[in-house]
This record gives sequence, structure tokens and C-alpha cells, in this order.
Amino acid sequence: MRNGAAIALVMLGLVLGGSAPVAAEIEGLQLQVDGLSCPFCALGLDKRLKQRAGLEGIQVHLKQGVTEAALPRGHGIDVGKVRRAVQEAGFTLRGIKLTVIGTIGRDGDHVTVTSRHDGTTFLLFDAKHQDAEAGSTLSQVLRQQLEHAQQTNRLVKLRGLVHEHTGLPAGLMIESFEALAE
Amino acid sequence: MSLPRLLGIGALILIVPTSAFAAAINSDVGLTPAKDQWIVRSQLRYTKKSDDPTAQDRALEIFMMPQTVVYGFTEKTSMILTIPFLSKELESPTDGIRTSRGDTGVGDLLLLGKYRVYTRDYPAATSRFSVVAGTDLPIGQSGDADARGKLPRDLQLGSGSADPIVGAAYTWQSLDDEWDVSLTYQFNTTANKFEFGDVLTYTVAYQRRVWPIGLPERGLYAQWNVVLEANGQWEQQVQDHSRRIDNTGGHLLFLSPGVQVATKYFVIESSVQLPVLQNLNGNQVEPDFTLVGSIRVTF
Repeated sequence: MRNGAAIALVMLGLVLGGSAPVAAEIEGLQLQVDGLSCPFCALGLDKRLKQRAGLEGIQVHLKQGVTEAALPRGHGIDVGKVRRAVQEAGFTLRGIKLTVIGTIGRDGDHVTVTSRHDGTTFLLFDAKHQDAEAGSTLSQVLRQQLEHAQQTNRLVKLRGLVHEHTGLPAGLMIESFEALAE
Repeated sequence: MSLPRLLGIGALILIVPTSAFAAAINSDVGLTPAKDQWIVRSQLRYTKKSDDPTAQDRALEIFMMPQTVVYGFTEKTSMILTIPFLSKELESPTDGIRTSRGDTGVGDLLLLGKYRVYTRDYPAATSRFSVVAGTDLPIGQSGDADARGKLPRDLQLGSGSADPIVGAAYTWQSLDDEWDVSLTYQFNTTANKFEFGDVLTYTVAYQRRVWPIGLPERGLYAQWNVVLEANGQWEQQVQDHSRRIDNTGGHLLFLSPGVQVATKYFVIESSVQLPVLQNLNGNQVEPDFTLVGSIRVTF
């Protein structure tokens, strides 16, 4: 009887432990792919994204021209590889949209976010900041929010469009910002 | 139009690619793979030719199974290999008795390289232009015989000559419809002092999605297309020992309605080619129709 209880407790622990949510550091990956215009075209894209860019869970939404994908746990995103994979499939990558959960930091004058588990860093830009002052890529309000998150060492959740930089980390054009509960 | 040429043209029409993916049925524009992607296409084509302007009332039946393999070396460069399996039978009167002669086996191999020179991608649409070049390789028998002796050239499985081919193709494709236009020219060469005339083929194809009527917001779907193609072929006269042969060469134009089902992994399609223009030199048996069934898979 005691053995049975012990086994039940272990099983319960496994179930609870196994189902404990682990926040993905980069999630909600959406690739905006141009040129994709028939169902028979999709398999080549699926294969290249898996083989070349290491993505998982590929789902092509033909009408939207969007392909959803996931990164293997603990892996960062290599924007160049994703772009190349789409090219090798015969299409054009218009943009990558993703959500990153991480901590705010700095790279020189740039405000950055670094996903905690895989270490991917993005330079941050403000999609709504149309009148950028010289040297500023963020609106004053967003900058203050991000600095506050940095000072209090809070995790943030940012969603936006990724763009590449030569010799620098990729940029993230922020569309939404959320400071996560401490 | 001579039989081997008609068959060769059939194979050529099948594989001459433009650059889209759903593709026409009698112009295999779907054969553009991604890098390291394979496409295998298997077709069955049945052609009947019985419209004989002479009193001989000749009739010709041709079964053709072109097996095509396509591989993408890069996103722009691919290789297309086609081997046709053929069976053909010609009925004609001999000494007042109606007899038949024919042959069955492998026809000439067609090897093409393809390069996409222009691409303009849009959201859910694309515009592409490709060039192709290659050759017809004479692996099909060109000297077969039956009990009555050597078969006429029209009934041989192969041409006996290696024949260079060049071509180009353009595609516009969207989620709703697709246009494919392609053109090829085959420079037929001499073998055993016999030369089939050069062949020009052209195709204009239009496809329209008819199902699903409204596209689902998310995911993929099986797509039904109706297809209408114009497939033309013009051929020079045959030369035997440098002498032009009457009753060879000419111009044929087919109108080819069809239907196509495209999914992520395969395409199934069917078509019938109906002659609408038959401007053949001399007294040649004119085609009645060609029925086409096809399946394509990708992996």
C-alpha cells in the first residue's frame, strides 16, 4: 500500500513537473513570405525552413502569405539563415514577426533585449516613433518603460518585426510591449 | 506529322517548364523544385489518329507513359529527366488485308537543365521567367523490325539522333489563377542519313481555381483548378538522304480543357487535347484526340 502511494506521488510529481509551463524565449514566429501562391509550393518551403534554419512546427497559411514556425527550445533565431531558407525554397522573405521574452540591456547607445535562455539579442526600435530625434530609436515613453524594466530587472515581452543589420545584432521594431510580473 | 516526332513533342510539351508550381497539364510548368527537392511525375497519354485523307484508312494508337524526375540543385537551377514508355500500333491495308504493325518499349530520354532568370514575388502571387536547354538522347530503338522486316521510321521508338533543345517560359500565378506561356525549339539532327525536321512547340495555358470558392484564413487546402490550354507544334519536313519527304511536317494546334487537384504533396490532373488546327503537309493521318492522366508527387 505504501509502495502504491509512493508510486502515485512520483507519478503526480512527474505529471506536474512535466507540464510545468516553461516560457519560450522567442515565440509566435511568423514569416511573411511573398510568392507563395499554391498548395503544391508549400512543401519545399517547409523542408528548407526545417533543414536550413532549424525551425519546427511549420504551418503555412496560404491566404495570409504567412508561415508560422517555432524554434527548438533553447535555440535562438538566425535571421540570415531564415532568409536564405526562404530563398532556397524559391520565395522572398518580406519580414519576420516574433515575440521575445527577455531582459533589457544596452549595446553602446542602443537599447537591447536579450532572450534569457538562448541569448539572442535584438536592438530595439519603436514602430510608432515617427519623429525620432538624432540618435534615438525609441519614443520617450517607451524608452522610460524599458529603462524602468531594466532598473527593476523585470522580464519584458516584446513583439515586433525583425530586420537585419550588417555587423550588429538584428533589430526589433516594437509593436507591443509588456512588462511581466515580478 | 510523323509519329516519333509527335511522341517526342508530347514528351517535350510535358516537361518544358516555366516557373510556377501548380502548372499546366500539357506544359509541365509545375516542375520547379526548391533546393534539394524532388518532383516525380507520371503520366499516361493515349493518342488516337484515324483521320486519314487517303483511301487507305490508316489508324494509329499510341500509349505513352512519360516518367519525369526533377531535382533542384539550387533555388534557380534544376534538372529535368524524362523517360517515356511507349506502345504504338498502326493499322493499314496491305495487299487488300488490314494488318497492324507496332512496337513497345522505351523511347528517347530527354534531359533538360533549367534556370530561372527573373522572379518578382508579391504577397500570394509571383511572376517568373525561365530558360531551358538540353538534349534528346537516343536511347530508344530506331532499328526495330517485325516479321515483315524493319519497321518504318514512324513506328520506331527512338529517333536515333541526339537533338539539342532550347526554350523559355513565363508564369504568372496567384491564389486565384495562373497563366503559363512556354516556347521550345528542338534542333533535330541526322542519324543514318535520316533527319526529322526541327520542331517548335508553344503553349499558352490558363488555370482558374474553382474550389474552394472562398479560401480558408489559415492553413493549406486541396485546390481544384479548371484548365484551358492551347498547345501548338510546328515541324519541318523530314529529310532522307538529304531529300525532303512529302507527307511530313506541318502545323498542329490543340485546345486542351482539363481539371487539376493540387495539394501540398501531390497533384492529380487530367486533360483532353482536341485538334483545332491541322495544317499538315501532304496526306498524313491527322490526330483525333489525346487523353491525358497524370500524377505528380514531391518530397
